[in-house]
Amino acid sequence: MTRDEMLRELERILEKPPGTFKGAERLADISNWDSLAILTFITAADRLCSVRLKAEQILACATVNDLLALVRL
Amino acid sequence: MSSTKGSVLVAGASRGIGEQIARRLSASGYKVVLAARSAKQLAAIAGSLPSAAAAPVDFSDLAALEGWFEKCAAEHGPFSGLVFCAGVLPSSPLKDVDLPMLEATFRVNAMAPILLTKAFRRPDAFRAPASIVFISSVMGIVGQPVRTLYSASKAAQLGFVRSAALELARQGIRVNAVAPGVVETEFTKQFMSMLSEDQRSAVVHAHALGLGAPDDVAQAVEFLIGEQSKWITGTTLVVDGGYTAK
Repeated sequence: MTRDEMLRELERILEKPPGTFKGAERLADISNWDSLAILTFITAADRLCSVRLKAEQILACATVNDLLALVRL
Repeated sequence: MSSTKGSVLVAGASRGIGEQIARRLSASGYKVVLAARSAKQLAAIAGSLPSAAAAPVDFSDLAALEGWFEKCAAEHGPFSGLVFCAGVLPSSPLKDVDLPMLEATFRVNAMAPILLTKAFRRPDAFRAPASIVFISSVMGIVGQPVRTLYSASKAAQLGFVRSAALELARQGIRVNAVAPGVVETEFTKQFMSMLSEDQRSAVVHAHALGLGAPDDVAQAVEFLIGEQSKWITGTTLVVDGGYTAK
């Protein structure tokens, strides 16, 4: 899984057009970024990157880049 | 192997609630036949019980299921009870649900118990009075986000239980379900670990009596399998610490 592929996955989770995210976006500014999206990101991280995350780790993130860092991308 | 209370097949007995059901029924004097995928795990549990046998099977392999049961009944039957506790717990928002996920969920959670009940009702497979118990879920009664498939498959069990109870009463077979709330097992710990502290706390507090233990469900199953419940069929016993009371 590359960084770009994870960005596209995040766009898919949040139902945004491809190319929306570059990495610096603030999560607080993204519509649809809610508890359901967090849960979906956790399952995607496990399925695609074999990384098991907890909700607290996601809640500590401020930007898309922070999310990618959690899955080592 | 003989038992004064008869033989009960426990499907999904390799861990969690199913394992505890097997242990409780065994302690009550039933011979238990343990079924699940993991032969090693089943053998370890069976070896720790006074009157038990292991019968490994993959409940998603529906084409082989009736043949497996026939062989199992010939070897360990006739059965006086069947407990279906096997299951998969998909967590996915509806927009991510696809056909393979839908099929995988319904194969194990809905189709397998139906096929096993069909096989159980054959005259040489059971001994009346007999009792079948499905371990459904409160998610078959109420809803929750990301649980659409799980809820639908567990609700399918509850619908089947009602009609099967009416159809099989003439053969002396009772059919009921238990609908547990959140029970502390490895199965649920994995899901709870994905939640934030606030979310975990909300789940716990949604149960007026707190989260359940596997034996809370096993005791309800023991009641429904036994003759104390001989006038109960086609019903769902909710065992949820008050989760659905509000």
